[in-house]
Parts: sequence; structure tokens; C-alpha cells
Amino acid sequence: MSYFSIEFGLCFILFFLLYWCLNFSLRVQNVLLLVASYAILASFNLTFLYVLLGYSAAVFALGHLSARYPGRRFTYGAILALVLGCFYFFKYQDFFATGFQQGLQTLGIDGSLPIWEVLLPVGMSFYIFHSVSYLMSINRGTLKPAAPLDLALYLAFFPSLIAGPVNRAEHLLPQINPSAPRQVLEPQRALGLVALAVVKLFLFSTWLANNWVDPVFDTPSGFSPEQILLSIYGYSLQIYFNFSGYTNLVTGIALLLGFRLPRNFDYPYLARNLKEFWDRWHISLSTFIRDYLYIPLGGNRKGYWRGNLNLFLAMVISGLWHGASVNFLIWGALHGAGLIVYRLYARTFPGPRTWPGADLLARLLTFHYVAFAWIFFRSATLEDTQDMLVGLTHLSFEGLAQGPWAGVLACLTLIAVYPWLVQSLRQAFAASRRIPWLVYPIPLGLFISLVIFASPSGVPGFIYASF
Amino acid sequence: MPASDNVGSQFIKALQVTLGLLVTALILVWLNQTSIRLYCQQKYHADCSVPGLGDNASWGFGARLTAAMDDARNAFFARLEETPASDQPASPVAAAEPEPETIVQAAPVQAPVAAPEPPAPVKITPLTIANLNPSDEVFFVGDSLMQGVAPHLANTLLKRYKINSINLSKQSTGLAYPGFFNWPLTVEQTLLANHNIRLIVVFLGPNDPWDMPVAKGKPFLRFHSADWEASYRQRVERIYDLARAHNVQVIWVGPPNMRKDKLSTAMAYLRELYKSEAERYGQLYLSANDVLGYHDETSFSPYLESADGKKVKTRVDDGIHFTTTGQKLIAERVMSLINIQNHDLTER
Repeated sequence: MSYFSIEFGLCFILFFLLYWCLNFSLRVQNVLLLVASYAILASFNLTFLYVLLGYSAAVFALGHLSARYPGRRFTYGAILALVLGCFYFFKYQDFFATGFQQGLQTLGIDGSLPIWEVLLPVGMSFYIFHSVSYLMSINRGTLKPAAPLDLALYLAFFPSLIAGPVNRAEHLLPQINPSAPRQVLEPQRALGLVALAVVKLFLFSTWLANNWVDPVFDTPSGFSPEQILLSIYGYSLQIYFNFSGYTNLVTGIALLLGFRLPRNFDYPYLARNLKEFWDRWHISLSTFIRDYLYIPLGGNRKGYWRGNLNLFLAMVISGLWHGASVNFLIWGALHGAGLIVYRLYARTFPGPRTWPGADLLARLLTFHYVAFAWIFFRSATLEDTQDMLVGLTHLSFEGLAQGPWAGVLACLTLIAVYPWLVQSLRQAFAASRRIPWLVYPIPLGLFISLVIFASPSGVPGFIYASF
Repeated sequence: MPASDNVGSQFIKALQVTLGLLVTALILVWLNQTSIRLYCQQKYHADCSVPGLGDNASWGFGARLTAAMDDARNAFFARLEETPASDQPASPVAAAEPEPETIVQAAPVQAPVAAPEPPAPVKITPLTIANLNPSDEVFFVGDSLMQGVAPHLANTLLKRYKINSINLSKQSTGLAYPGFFNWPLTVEQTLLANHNIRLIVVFLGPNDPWDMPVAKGKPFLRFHSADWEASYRQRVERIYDLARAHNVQVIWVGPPNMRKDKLSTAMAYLRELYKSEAERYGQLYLSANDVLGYHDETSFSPYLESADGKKVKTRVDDGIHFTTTGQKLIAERVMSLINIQNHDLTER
């Protein structure tokens, strides 16, 4: 069930009322939340629910093993086996088996790995991450094993089940078991976030996809170099609107249920370098990768070059997490390499640049590098990527003047005035929250209707729900 | 403050928020009632209007308000895009979503419902291959299945033969719910606007095997019933008739078996229907089952096993759509049904 469907909206209002009627008992409220989360998962496929139940049981057992033998080699081994086993079995066996088969073929050997026909359960990538945070915290002695019901809800909590944000056990578990009764948190902001999500997903993301992005990425060779450039700018904006809009939506839903989800975006295209970009983009994932991949690999504790290698590896793995294909691998590698180059640069030329225009130039440079990497992320095949890149080599001012100069100029202007725009948006959002609650739903309802009216038809998809 | 008071005040706050949610939802439903009704028809295959509410003037005002705004927008863009010699129809996408009742009237009734076999079209020699010249264009019609396959076809046609194509495939569409998207009308407008189209490739089906509306207020036609089939065939035939009138060849791709039995059985029924219509009009038909290695009407596997036992994944986890490999295989088979005459083979 999509969180943007009419069905979800209607069910949610009923659920919301029932949920707060049960506020006298935290336990009953949690049971309701768990049942709702399981029901949503089962609405995709009943098997997905069984997988999550099995996985939760395994995490529960490993939690107790971790509490008894914290930090021991076999404890980590068991956790790693569970995590990698699930990832391989449900997500990567096709990728690796095909690669293995091709590898053997080039060596002239005939052979293949077995392939089990399984479906990738919805939300698995995210609840595996949640479990890693939980188990690692127990191993580090900062958390005690949770009660079965609490753990089950922590793994299944529906606002962050399908596409994150990635929760930390030490942040979410206390909210599942709070010391005081729950309350609706910032209802006006919560509904404002939902409205913002509608604008970003129904209007911006879908419009960009339909008009600038999808036609070009589907058939790159049929478009001019300038249209290809515009589609890349378009996708850079589309994926931001899509994913950050989704995060706004689930953050709003969680606030209405009395939960705070971690911040996931902080205006990423304000970034002046790649490091800053990753501090602002999919924050919950990038900090997860830092804490549970980069640092365990050794971080920068084993010398400068080993630190860079670890960084590169972490980014490549992050790329592969997004999808089992060479394109995602290259996307991760590009970001890894870009981060290393930035580190070298920052080491060679330390200190901030203060000359006029430095800030704008840095933002434009960062945006273009990130946009370049998105080509690999979005293209369906390596061949399509090649067509896009070959197309780009024929860019010309003449072509731009006769082609989509207005769109390209609009994108560049957007990046240029972004800091000012962010400020205005914040002010507008703050002003909307000053509308008295008594009348707030009326402008809100009219505003959302207007946005839907202006948007292309259909329920938008969530790009990140497929990772 | 005692905990019980706290719980009480939280409850009142929650009630206020519920009220706010209800008011917002009411405004949204009031203004978007027409789209919601179409969505409901398409998804639940039933007329979802609340009894009595449809006759209420103030409730109906919401729908009229949105419709009026929609008209204003269309008129605005139509005037904006007006060219001096503007006898062209509106863009297919804009015109493709009118009220259901107008569509049913628009679709010319050629044969009485459930009549015996309608008069066969002028018999022509059945096509064995679609012939195209380098200046011709290809038009892709279909749903999300086609959205996956069309880009590969378009790429090959363009890169290998410099043949342009028009891809209007749109997810969730088919022939059963013209109120949501009207393919015969879209085909008509596209053929009128693009005289170079010499081939239509159609690939749809999975959104169709349900009870479908014929006109406002009338009961839905039951899927599989004679009336349903007659009405559905009319829409298929409308596409073939339009193609013939514009001297356009058609390749109709039959949807493959699906993971879910019920959907799969329905696809077998639709395949037979599409195939018989293709034969009647002497046009090309291809079953996706043949491409994906499904040798009977029920078997399903997300993998295609080659003669030497190697497996490639052709279907994605939803059991409906294709992986990139699957899309390419189908595109290749469609390409094998196309013959390009007088071309300079170039790889761009």
C-alpha cells in the first residue's frame, strides 16, 4: 500500500483516532502500531511478513547472544552471517551468480551457482540496517536487549519500514518505550510536512520525470546533447524532490504518532564540496555507513592512504546497496574517488576560500559532479550510460541557444539562488505554522488540492522504495 | 500534573488533530471526487459513488469547480499553443482523460453488443513481416509492460536504422477503463498528427481483466461475459480500423503468463482475443510467452533457462513486469518481425 494512496489516507485517519484512544496504555498502543505495520507489509505480500517475523526472531536471539558475549569474534561472525546471508539470498544472488557464471565462461569453464527463486521483501534493506544498529549497540554495551514486542516494533515501525530513514536503536527504542505518555508532536508542522511532500512528489518529481528525465534516459540517442544535459539536471532535482519528499511524508506521519525520525536531508545542493554533500544527503544512511562500515574497516586510524581506501570501499559498497548492478557500483566508486580527491585538495590547500564568487563556484562544481554521477545511477544499462556520455561530448552553445536554453538556465539559476531560496522557504513554512489551528485545515486542504490539480495524474512512486 | 490528566489533555489534542485531518480529507475528496471515482473504477472495478451523494448539489459543486478549472487550463494552453493553421487536434495526453460517458459515446458502436461475429474486414493477405522505410515512424501503445520494452525498440530502430518512434505508453492503462485513459482516441489523434507512422506496436493487458464500466449509471460488465468480450473487442477493433484507415501495420504483443494464477488465466483469455483479432485483420501477433520460454498457458518462472541449462532472470519480483534482460528479449523478437527496406545500416 502506497503511503500516498487514497486507501492509506482513509485508513490512517481511522488508525490515528484509535491509536490515540488507546493512549492510556503504552503496551496496547504499541501492539496496535505493530499490527498496523505488519498489515502494511502483508498488503504487499504475505511472504514478506513471514520473512520479517523470522528475521526479528533471529535478531532477538542474536541480541541475547550479544549481551552475553559482547564484542566476541563469534558474536560478530553470527551477526555478519545473518546480515550478509539475507542480503545475498534475497537481493544479490542473481547479480553474483550471473557474474560468477560469466567469469567462469571467460576462463573457458562451464559452471554456475545455484539460484533460488525468491522475492526481495519490501523494506528488507532498511530493517537489516536497523538490526545492525541494535546489535552493535548491545555489543558496545550502550544498550540492553529489548523486550520481544519492542524489538519487533523497532524493526517493523511502518513510517520508516519501506524506504527509511535509517533509525538507530538508541534513538528509536526509547521512543517505543517512553517514560511518559505519548503525545501528538507538532501537529501543524506534521501536516505541513505532508503538504510539502505532496508538492515535491506529485508536482515537482513527477513533472520533471515526465517532461525532462524519462524520455531522454529511455532513449538517449534520440535526443540532442543539450536535451541530455537538461535531463541530467532534471534527474538531479527529481531524485532530491522524490526522496526528500518521501522523507517529509514519513517524518510527518511519525510526528502525528508521537515519534521523531532522524533527519535525512539538509538542502544537499547547498553543499560546497562532496564531503559536505554527504553530510546533507541521505544523512541517516551516510552516518550509518560511516559508523558501521568505514570505522570498522579501520576508518582513518591506519594511516592516510588506508583511510582513503576505506572511504572508497565504503562508498562502493554503498553504491552496491542501492542496487545489484555495475552502474550502481560505478556510481559509488565515483563518489568514493571524488571524496578522496576532495580530501587531497583540502589537505593541500587548507582554509576557506573567501574571494567573491568562490561559494557559488564551489556549489556549481559540486552540483555538476553529483549530477554526473547520477547519470550512472539513473541509466537502466551501461549501454544507455554510454549513449548519454557520448551525447554530452557534443554539447555546444549553438545547440543550447536553439534548444532547451531556458530549462538549463533555470536549473543553474536555481543552484545559484538556492541559499536565498532556502531562507525564503523556511520563512514561508514558519509563517504557515502561525495560522491558527482552528482554520489551518482549510487552507491546507485547498493548497493540497491545488497542487494535485497542477500535477500530472497518477500516484507517484518512491524511487528509494526499490533499494 | 497527574498522569491521567496528562493522558486526558493529550487525548483532546489528538481529537483536535483528527478533526483537522477529517476537514482536510473532506476538502480533498470534495474537490477531487471525479478522479477518485475513476481511480476506484480502475482499481476496484466497481462504481464507488456513495448513494445519494451524487445528487446533492453542494457535493456536486466540488466536481464542477474542478472540471471548470480543468477546462480553463486546457483552454489556456490550447490558446497558447495555437498556430495560425491550427486544425490539429489537442495533444493526446491532454485529451486522453475526459469524462467516461463522453468516451463511450465517442467510441463508434460498430456492432450491436453481443452480436454474432461482426462482418469481417476486407480480407487482405496476412502480414508475415512489417515493412518499413527509413523515413517511416513507429508508434508504441501500451502500459507499463510497454514502458519497459519500448525504449529498447526505440533505441534499436534509431541507432540501427535512424527510424524515429513515438512512445506514448503509460502505466496502469489498457482498454477497459477509457475514463482513465482512452487508447483508441489517443491512437486516432496520434495517427492524425503524425503522418509518417507506418507501424503500431501494442503491448497491454494486465490492467484489463476486470469488470468494466460502459456508461455512467449502468452496471459494470462482468469480465469474461459475452457482453464484456463484445465491448472489449470493439475497442481492439477500433485500433485496427484506425490503423487500416491510415495505412499502418500493427504488431500486437500478447501479455505473458503471470505469477498469480488468476491474472495468468485472464492473460491466456486476452491472448486468444488479441490473437484472433490480429488474424482477422491480417496483422502480426506475437505472444510474449514464446519469448520467455513458457510452453503452456499456465507455467511461470522468473527465469529463462537456455538449452545448456544457464538461467537468466527475465521477470521482476512482482511477477508481472520484466527485468532489463526480459525487456530486451521481447524487443529483439519484435525487431525480428520488422523489415527495414532501402536502409544504410549504420550504428550511430
